[in-house]
Amino acid sequence: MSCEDNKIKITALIDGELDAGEQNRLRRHLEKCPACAAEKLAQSRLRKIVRKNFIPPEPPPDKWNGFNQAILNRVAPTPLARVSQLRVRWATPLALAASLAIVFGVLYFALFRVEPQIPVDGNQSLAVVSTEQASQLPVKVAVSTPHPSVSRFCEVLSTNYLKPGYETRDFPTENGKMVIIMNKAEEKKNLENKN
Amino acid sequence: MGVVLMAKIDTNEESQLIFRCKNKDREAFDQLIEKYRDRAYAMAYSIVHNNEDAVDVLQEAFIKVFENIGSFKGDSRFYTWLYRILFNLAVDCARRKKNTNVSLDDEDALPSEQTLDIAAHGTPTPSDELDRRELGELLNQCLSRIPLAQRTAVLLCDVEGLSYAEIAEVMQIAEGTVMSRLHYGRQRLAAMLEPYLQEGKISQVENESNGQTE
Repeated sequence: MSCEDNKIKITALIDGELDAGEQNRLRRHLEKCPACAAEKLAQSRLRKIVRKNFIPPEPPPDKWNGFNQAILNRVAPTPLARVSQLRVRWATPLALAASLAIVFGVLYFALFRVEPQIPVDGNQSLAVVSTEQASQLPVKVAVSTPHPSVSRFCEVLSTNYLKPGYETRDFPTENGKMVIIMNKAEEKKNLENKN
Repeated sequence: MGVVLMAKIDTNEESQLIFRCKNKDREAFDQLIEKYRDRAYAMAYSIVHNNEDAVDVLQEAFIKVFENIGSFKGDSRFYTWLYRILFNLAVDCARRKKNTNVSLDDEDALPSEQTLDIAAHGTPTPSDELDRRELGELLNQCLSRIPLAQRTAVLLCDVEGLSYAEIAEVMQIAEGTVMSRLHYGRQRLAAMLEPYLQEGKISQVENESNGQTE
Protein backbone atom coordinates (compact mmCIF):
# COMPACT_ATOMS: atom_id res chain seq x y z
CA MET A 1 0.00 0.00 0.00
CA SER A 2 1.38 3.41 -0.97
CA CYS A 3 2.03 6.20 1.50
CA GLU A 4 -0.81 8.20 -0.10
CA ASP A 5 -3.21 5.33 0.62
CA ASN A 6 -1.83 5.06 4.14
CA LYS A 7 -2.37 8.77 4.73
CA ILE A 8 -6.06 8.34 3.98
CA LYS A 9 -6.16 5.36 6.33
CA ILE A 10 -4.54 7.53 9.00
CA THR A 11 -7.72 9.60 8.98
CA ALA A 12 -9.71 6.52 9.92
CA LEU A 13 -7.07 5.52 12.46
CA ILE A 14 -7.32 8.75 14.43
CA ASP A 15 -11.12 8.60 14.23
CA GLY A 16 -11.08 5.08 15.69
CA GLU A 17 -12.71 3.63 12.57
CA LEU A 18 -10.11 0.99 11.65
CA ASP A 19 -10.41 -2.63 12.66
CA ALA A 20 -7.67 -4.18 14.79
CA GLY A 21 -5.85 -5.77 11.86
CA GLU A 22 -5.69 -2.53 9.89
CA GLN A 23 -4.61 -0.60 12.98
CA ASN A 24 -1.69 -2.96 13.60
CA ARG A 25 -0.59 -2.87 9.99
CA LEU A 26 -0.74 0.92 9.89
CA ARG A 27 1.07 1.35 13.21
CA ARG A 28 3.90 -0.84 11.94
CA HIS A 29 4.10 1.36 8.84
CA LEU A 30 4.11 4.55 10.92
CA GLU A 31 7.08 3.30 12.91
CA LYS A 32 9.08 3.02 9.70
CA CYS A 33 7.75 6.03 7.74
CA PRO A 34 8.48 9.52 9.11
CA ALA A 35 6.31 11.20 6.45
CA CYS A 36 3.24 9.21 7.42
CA ALA A 37 4.03 9.67 11.11
CA ALA A 38 4.14 13.43 10.53
CA GLU A 39 0.86 13.21 8.66
CA LYS A 40 -0.73 11.41 11.59
CA LEU A 41 0.51 14.09 13.96
CA ALA A 42 -0.80 16.87 11.74
CA GLN A 43 -4.20 15.23 11.29
CA SER A 44 -4.55 14.54 15.00
CA ARG A 45 -3.67 18.13 15.77
CA LEU A 46 -6.14 19.48 13.29
CA ARG A 47 -8.91 17.19 14.52
CA LYS A 48 -8.37 18.47 18.05
CA ILE A 49 -8.42 22.08 16.91
CA VAL A 50 -11.71 21.64 15.09
CA ARG A 51 -13.32 19.72 17.93
CA LYS A 52 -12.32 22.25 20.52
CA ASN A 53 -12.72 25.51 18.67
CA PHE A 54 -15.52 25.22 16.20
CA ILE A 55 -18.15 27.82 17.03
CA PRO A 56 -21.53 26.73 15.73
CA PRO A 57 -23.46 29.51 14.06
CA GLU A 58 -26.13 30.78 16.36
CA PRO A 59 -29.43 32.13 15.11
CA PRO A 60 -30.45 35.65 16.08
CA PRO A 61 -31.86 35.70 19.62
CA ASP A 62 -35.47 36.08 18.51
CA LYS A 63 -35.23 33.52 15.72
CA TRP A 64 -36.91 30.76 17.69
CA ASN A 65 -39.89 32.95 18.59
CA GLY A 66 -42.83 31.19 17.06
CA PHE A 67 -40.56 28.73 15.24
CA ASN A 68 -42.02 25.58 16.79
CA GLN A 69 -45.56 26.88 16.52
CA ALA A 70 -45.14 27.67 12.83
CA ILE A 71 -44.10 24.06 12.22
CA LEU A 72 -46.85 22.65 14.40
CA ASN A 73 -49.43 24.74 12.60
CA ARG A 74 -48.31 23.25 9.32
CA VAL A 75 -48.11 19.63 10.41
CA ALA A 76 -51.27 19.51 12.47
CA PRO A 77 -54.05 22.01 12.20
CA THR A 78 -55.67 23.61 15.22
CA PRO A 79 -58.53 21.65 16.79
CA LEU A 80 -61.14 23.88 15.14
CA ALA A 81 -59.55 23.47 11.76
CA ARG A 82 -59.27 19.75 12.38
CA VAL A 83 -63.00 19.47 13.03
CA SER A 84 -63.65 21.45 9.89
CA GLN A 85 -61.32 19.21 7.89
CA LEU A 86 -62.89 16.16 9.46
CA ARG A 87 -66.29 17.40 8.42
CA VAL A 88 -65.18 17.92 4.85
CA ARG A 89 -63.17 14.71 4.72
CA TRP A 90 -65.89 12.50 6.18
CA ALA A 91 -69.00 14.22 4.93
CA THR A 92 -69.25 12.20 1.74
CA PRO A 93 -68.36 8.80 3.22
CA LEU A 94 -70.71 9.38 6.14
CA ALA A 95 -73.55 10.38 3.86
CA LEU A 96 -72.85 7.34 1.72
CA ALA A 97 -72.71 5.05 4.74
CA ALA A 98 -75.96 6.48 6.09
CA SER A 99 -77.66 6.05 2.73
CA LEU A 100 -76.44 2.47 2.47
CA ALA A 101 -77.63 1.76 6.00
CA ILE A 102 -81.07 3.07 5.13
CA VAL A 103 -81.19 1.09 1.90
CA PHE A 104 -80.06 -2.13 3.54
CA GLY A 105 -82.41 -1.51 6.43
CA VAL A 106 -85.34 -1.09 4.09
CA LEU A 107 -84.27 -4.10 2.06
CA TYR A 108 -83.85 -6.18 5.16
CA PHE A 109 -87.27 -5.34 6.45
CA ALA A 110 -88.74 -5.45 2.98
CA LEU A 111 -87.26 -8.67 1.74
CA PHE A 112 -85.92 -10.84 4.52
CA ARG A 113 -87.74 -10.18 7.71
CA VAL A 114 -90.36 -12.92 7.79
CA GLU A 115 -91.78 -13.22 11.23
CA PRO A 116 -94.28 -15.51 12.85
CA GLN A 117 -97.79 -14.26 12.56
CA ILE A 118 -98.84 -12.00 15.35
CA PRO A 119 -102.09 -10.18 15.96
CA VAL A 120 -102.29 -6.98 14.02
CA ASP A 121 -104.23 -4.07 15.33
CA GLY A 122 -106.34 -1.84 13.18
CA ASN A 123 -103.72 0.88 12.79
CA GLN A 124 -101.28 -1.27 10.91
CA SER A 125 -101.46 -1.14 7.20
CA LEU A 126 -100.01 -4.52 6.57
CA ALA A 127 -100.43 -7.94 7.91
CA VAL A 128 -97.53 -10.05 9.00
CA VAL A 129 -97.36 -13.49 7.51
CA SER A 130 -95.60 -16.51 8.81
CA THR A 131 -92.86 -18.28 6.92
CA GLU A 132 -95.22 -21.21 6.56
CA GLN A 133 -97.92 -19.05 5.08
CA ALA A 134 -95.45 -17.38 2.76
CA SER A 135 -94.26 -20.72 1.51
CA GLN A 136 -97.81 -21.69 0.64
CA LEU A 137 -98.27 -18.63 -1.50
CA PRO A 138 -96.89 -18.22 -5.02
CA VAL A 139 -94.37 -15.69 -3.74
CA LYS A 140 -90.68 -15.33 -3.19
CA VAL A 141 -90.89 -13.39 0.03
CA ALA A 142 -93.67 -12.00 2.05
CA VAL A 143 -93.02 -8.78 3.88
CA SER A 144 -94.45 -6.69 6.58
CA THR A 145 -94.11 -2.97 6.84
CA PRO A 146 -95.25 -0.14 9.03
CA HIS A 147 -95.55 2.01 5.93
CA PRO A 148 -98.76 4.07 6.21
CA SER A 149 -99.56 3.71 2.55
CA VAL A 150 -99.46 0.21 1.14
CA SER A 151 -99.66 1.34 -2.45
CA ARG A 152 -96.85 3.83 -1.96
CA PHE A 153 -94.78 1.18 -0.25
CA CYS A 154 -95.31 -1.22 -3.13
CA GLU A 155 -94.41 1.48 -5.61
CA VAL A 156 -91.14 2.30 -3.82
CA LEU A 157 -90.32 -1.36 -3.50
CA SER A 158 -90.93 -2.06 -7.17
CA THR A 159 -89.15 1.01 -8.44
CA ASN A 160 -86.04 0.79 -6.34
CA TYR A 161 -85.43 -2.65 -4.99
CA LEU A 162 -86.97 -5.42 -6.98
CA LYS A 163 -85.16 -7.31 -9.66
CA PRO A 164 -86.79 -7.63 -13.05
CA GLY A 165 -89.35 -10.38 -13.05
CA TYR A 166 -90.66 -9.62 -9.61
CA GLU A 167 -93.61 -7.55 -8.62
CA THR A 168 -95.52 -6.60 -5.53
CA ARG A 169 -99.08 -7.37 -4.80
CA ASP A 170 -101.18 -6.58 -1.79
CA PHE A 171 -104.00 -8.67 -0.45
CA PRO A 172 -106.57 -7.90 2.16
CA THR A 173 -106.49 -10.29 5.08
CA GLU A 174 -108.59 -10.55 8.16
CA ASN A 175 -105.97 -8.58 10.04
CA GLY A 176 -105.31 -5.91 7.44
CA LYS A 177 -103.30 -5.97 4.27
CA MET A 178 -100.48 -8.21 3.23
CA VAL A 179 -97.89 -7.34 0.65
CA ILE A 180 -96.22 -10.11 -1.23
CA ILE A 181 -93.39 -10.02 -3.69
CA MET A 182 -94.13 -12.31 -6.53
CA ASN A 183 -92.01 -13.91 -9.11
CA LYS A 184 -94.11 -13.65 -12.23
CA ALA A 185 -92.64 -16.74 -13.85
CA GLU A 186 -93.11 -18.85 -10.74
CA GLU A 187 -96.64 -17.61 -10.34
CA LYS A 188 -97.39 -18.51 -13.91
CA LYS A 189 -95.85 -21.96 -13.43
CA ASN A 190 -97.82 -22.51 -10.25
CA LEU A 191 -101.03 -21.53 -11.97
CA GLU A 192 -100.30 -23.91 -14.83
CA ASN A 193 -99.65 -26.72 -12.39
CA LYS A 194 -102.90 -26.03 -10.62
CA ASN A 195 -104.78 -26.07 -13.88
CA MET B 1 -20.31 25.27 22.29
CA GLY B 2 -18.79 22.14 20.87
CA VAL B 3 -19.56 20.47 24.17
CA VAL B 4 -23.16 21.61 23.92
CA LEU B 5 -23.45 20.20 20.43
CA MET B 6 -22.07 16.90 21.57
CA ALA B 7 -24.52 16.64 24.43
CA LYS B 8 -26.03 13.21 24.65
CA ILE B 9 -29.75 12.92 24.18
CA ASP B 10 -31.48 10.61 26.58
CA THR B 11 -32.38 7.75 24.27
CA ASN B 12 -35.23 6.44 26.41
CA GLU B 13 -36.84 9.83 26.57
CA GLU B 14 -36.23 10.25 22.87
CA SER B 15 -37.79 6.89 22.06
CA GLN B 16 -40.89 7.88 23.97
CA LEU B 17 -41.08 11.18 22.16
CA ILE B 18 -40.73 9.45 18.81
CA PHE B 19 -43.39 6.91 19.76
CA ARG B 20 -45.74 9.72 20.68
CA CYS B 21 -44.91 11.61 17.49
CA LYS B 22 -45.86 8.52 15.50
CA ASN B 23 -49.26 8.90 17.10
CA LYS B 24 -49.29 12.51 15.93
CA ASP B 25 -48.76 13.94 19.39
CA ARG B 26 -48.01 17.60 18.77
CA GLU B 27 -46.70 18.23 22.27
CA ALA B 28 -44.13 15.48 21.86
CA PHE B 29 -43.11 16.85 18.49
CA ASP B 30 -42.74 20.29 20.03
CA GLN B 31 -40.26 18.80 22.50
CA LEU B 32 -38.39 17.02 19.75
CA ILE B 33 -38.01 20.24 17.79
CA GLU B 34 -36.83 22.02 20.93
CA LYS B 35 -34.24 19.32 21.51
CA TYR B 36 -32.67 19.38 18.08
CA ARG B 37 -33.25 22.75 16.53
CA ASP B 38 -29.98 24.34 17.66
CA ARG B 39 -27.82 21.49 16.44
CA ALA B 40 -29.80 21.15 13.25
CA TYR B 41 -29.64 24.89 12.64
CA ALA B 42 -25.85 24.80 12.83
CA MET B 43 -25.78 22.00 10.27
CA ALA B 44 -28.17 23.78 7.93
CA TYR B 45 -26.30 27.05 8.25
CA SER B 46 -22.98 25.39 7.45
CA ILE B 47 -24.45 24.40 4.08
CA VAL B 48 -26.61 27.38 3.08
CA HIS B 49 -24.55 30.10 4.81
CA ASN B 50 -27.58 32.25 5.32
CA ASN B 51 -29.73 32.66 8.40
CA GLU B 52 -33.08 32.92 6.64
CA ASP B 53 -32.44 29.95 4.39
CA ALA B 54 -31.15 27.91 7.31
CA VAL B 55 -34.35 28.51 9.25
CA ASP B 56 -36.53 27.77 6.22
CA VAL B 57 -34.68 24.55 5.53
CA LEU B 58 -34.94 23.59 9.16
CA GLN B 59 -38.68 24.13 9.17
CA GLU B 60 -39.11 22.02 6.05
CA ALA B 61 -36.94 19.31 7.55
CA PHE B 62 -38.99 19.12 10.74
CA ILE B 63 -42.22 19.04 8.75
CA LYS B 64 -40.86 16.16 6.67
CA VAL B 65 -39.80 14.42 9.84
CA PHE B 66 -43.29 14.66 11.28
CA GLU B 67 -44.93 13.54 8.06
CA ASN B 68 -42.61 10.56 7.66
CA ILE B 69 -41.87 9.59 11.23
CA GLY B 70 -44.03 6.51 10.79
CA SER B 71 -41.36 5.14 8.48
CA PHE B 72 -38.58 5.71 11.03
CA LYS B 73 -37.82 2.20 12.27
CA GLY B 74 -35.15 3.12 14.79
CA ASP B 75 -32.42 1.23 12.92
CA SER B 76 -30.32 4.37 13.13
CA ARG B 77 -30.21 7.17 15.65
CA PHE B 78 -32.99 9.69 15.26
CA TYR B 79 -30.74 12.65 14.61
CA THR B 80 -28.89 10.72 11.90
CA TRP B 81 -32.24 10.34 10.19
CA LEU B 82 -33.09 13.99 10.82
CA TYR B 83 -29.70 15.10 9.47
CA ARG B 84 -30.17 13.07 6.33
CA ILE B 85 -33.43 14.86 5.60
CA LEU B 86 -31.91 18.19 6.56
CA PHE B 87 -28.79 17.62 4.48
CA ASN B 88 -30.79 16.89 1.33
CA LEU B 89 -33.01 19.92 1.80
CA ALA B 90 -30.08 22.21 2.59
CA VAL B 91 -28.10 21.09 -0.45
CA ASP B 92 -31.17 21.56 -2.66
CA CYS B 93 -31.70 25.02 -1.21
CA ALA B 94 -28.07 26.01 -1.70
CA ARG B 95 -28.20 24.77 -5.29
CA ARG B 96 -31.33 26.78 -5.98
CA LYS B 97 -29.62 29.86 -4.62
CA LYS B 98 -26.62 29.05 -6.78
CA ASN B 99 -24.24 29.08 -3.88
CA THR B 100 -20.72 29.08 -5.31
CA ASN B 101 -19.44 26.29 -3.08
CA VAL B 102 -22.30 23.83 -3.19
CA SER B 103 -20.94 21.07 -5.37
CA LEU B 104 -20.69 17.68 -3.72
CA ASP B 105 -17.77 16.87 -5.94
CA ASP B 106 -14.65 16.14 -3.90
CA GLU B 107 -12.43 17.90 -6.38
CA ASP B 108 -14.16 21.26 -6.54
CA ALA B 109 -11.32 22.93 -4.73
CA LEU B 110 -11.38 26.67 -4.55
CA PRO B 111 -8.50 28.67 -6.04
CA SER B 112 -5.54 28.49 -3.74
CA GLU B 113 -5.21 32.27 -3.50
CA GLN B 114 -8.77 32.40 -2.20
CA THR B 115 -8.32 29.65 0.34
CA LEU B 116 -5.18 31.21 1.73
CA ASP B 117 -6.31 34.80 1.70
CA ILE B 118 -7.89 34.67 5.11
CA ALA B 119 -6.27 37.81 6.47
CA ALA B 120 -7.81 39.85 3.68
CA HIS B 121 -11.26 38.99 5.02
CA GLY B 122 -10.81 40.62 8.39
CA THR B 123 -9.41 37.63 10.21
CA PRO B 124 -6.47 38.16 12.58
CA THR B 125 -3.09 37.70 11.00
CA PRO B 126 -0.66 35.09 12.31
CA SER B 127 1.41 37.80 13.95
CA ASP B 128 -1.30 38.33 16.56
CA GLU B 129 -1.97 35.80 19.25
CA LEU B 130 -5.35 34.19 18.76
CA ASP B 131 -7.76 33.96 21.60
CA ARG B 132 -10.49 31.37 21.67
CA ARG B 133 -13.04 33.48 19.85
CA GLU B 134 -10.61 34.53 17.15
CA LEU B 135 -9.52 30.98 16.59
CA GLY B 136 -13.16 29.92 16.32
CA GLU B 137 -13.84 32.60 13.74
CA LEU B 138 -10.73 31.69 11.81
CA LEU B 139 -11.75 28.06 11.84
CA ASN B 140 -15.25 28.88 10.60
CA GLN B 141 -13.82 30.95 7.78
CA CYS B 142 -11.50 28.15 6.78
CA LEU B 143 -14.32 25.61 6.93
CA SER B 144 -16.52 27.79 4.75
CA ARG B 145 -13.81 27.71 2.10
CA ILE B 146 -13.55 23.99 1.65
CA PRO B 147 -15.90 22.05 -0.62
CA LEU B 148 -19.32 21.31 0.80
CA ALA B 149 -18.91 17.54 0.76
CA GLN B 150 -15.67 17.72 2.73
CA ARG B 151 -16.93 20.42 5.07
CA THR B 152 -20.05 18.44 5.90
CA ALA B 153 -18.04 15.30 6.55
CA VAL B 154 -15.67 17.20 8.85
CA LEU B 155 -18.49 18.83 10.79
CA LEU B 156 -20.48 15.62 11.16
CA CYS B 157 -17.41 13.77 12.37
CA ASP B 158 -15.52 16.32 14.44
CA VAL B 159 -18.34 18.48 15.73
CA GLU B 160 -21.37 16.19 15.80
CA GLY B 161 -19.36 13.11 16.70
CA LEU B 162 -21.05 10.85 14.14
CA SER B 163 -19.44 7.59 13.14
CA TYR B 164 -18.37 6.96 9.55
CA ALA B 165 -21.41 4.70 9.11
CA GLU B 166 -23.71 7.48 10.29
CA ILE B 167 -22.05 10.09 8.11
CA ALA B 168 -22.38 7.71 5.18
CA GLU B 169 -26.09 7.41 5.92
CA VAL B 170 -26.60 11.16 6.20
CA MET B 171 -24.67 11.95 3.02
CA GLN B 172 -25.73 8.76 1.22
CA ILE B 173 -22.22 7.78 0.30
CA ALA B 174 -19.93 4.82 1.02
CA GLU B 175 -17.92 4.73 4.23
CA GLY B 176 -14.73 4.73 2.19
CA THR B 177 -15.86 7.99 0.60
CA VAL B 178 -16.49 9.43 4.04
CA MET B 179 -12.91 8.59 4.97
CA SER B 180 -11.44 10.23 1.87
CA ARG B 181 -13.61 13.32 2.22
CA LEU B 182 -12.53 13.72 5.81
CA HIS B 183 -8.92 13.24 4.80
CA TYR B 184 -8.95 15.82 2.03
CA GLY B 185 -11.10 18.21 4.01
CA ARG B 186 -8.72 18.14 6.95
CA GLN B 187 -5.81 18.44 4.58
CA ARG B 188 -7.27 21.64 3.13
CA LEU B 189 -7.99 23.00 6.56
CA ALA B 190 -4.47 22.21 7.67
CA ALA B 191 -3.07 24.05 4.66
CA MET B 192 -5.10 27.16 5.54
CA LEU B 193 -4.18 27.03 9.21
CA GLU B 194 -0.54 26.23 8.58
CA PRO B 195 0.72 29.83 8.98
CA TYR B 196 -0.95 30.04 12.37
CA LEU B 197 0.33 26.64 13.40
CA GLN B 198 3.89 27.53 12.38
CA GLU B 199 3.73 30.70 14.42
CA GLY B 200 2.63 28.62 17.39
CA LYS B 201 -0.52 30.65 17.80
CA ILE B 202 -2.71 27.58 18.07
CA SER B 203 -0.43 25.32 20.02
CA GLN B 204 -1.77 26.27 23.47
CA VAL B 205 -5.28 25.42 22.43
CA GLU B 206 -4.06 22.17 21.01
CA ASN B 207 -2.50 21.14 24.30
CA GLU B 208 -5.71 21.88 26.18
CA SER B 209 -7.70 19.48 24.05
CA ASN B 210 -8.88 16.14 25.22
CA GLY B 211 -11.06 13.28 24.19
CA GLN B 212 -9.20 12.32 21.05
CA THR B 213 -9.26 8.77 19.86
CA GLU B 214 -5.72 8.49 18.70
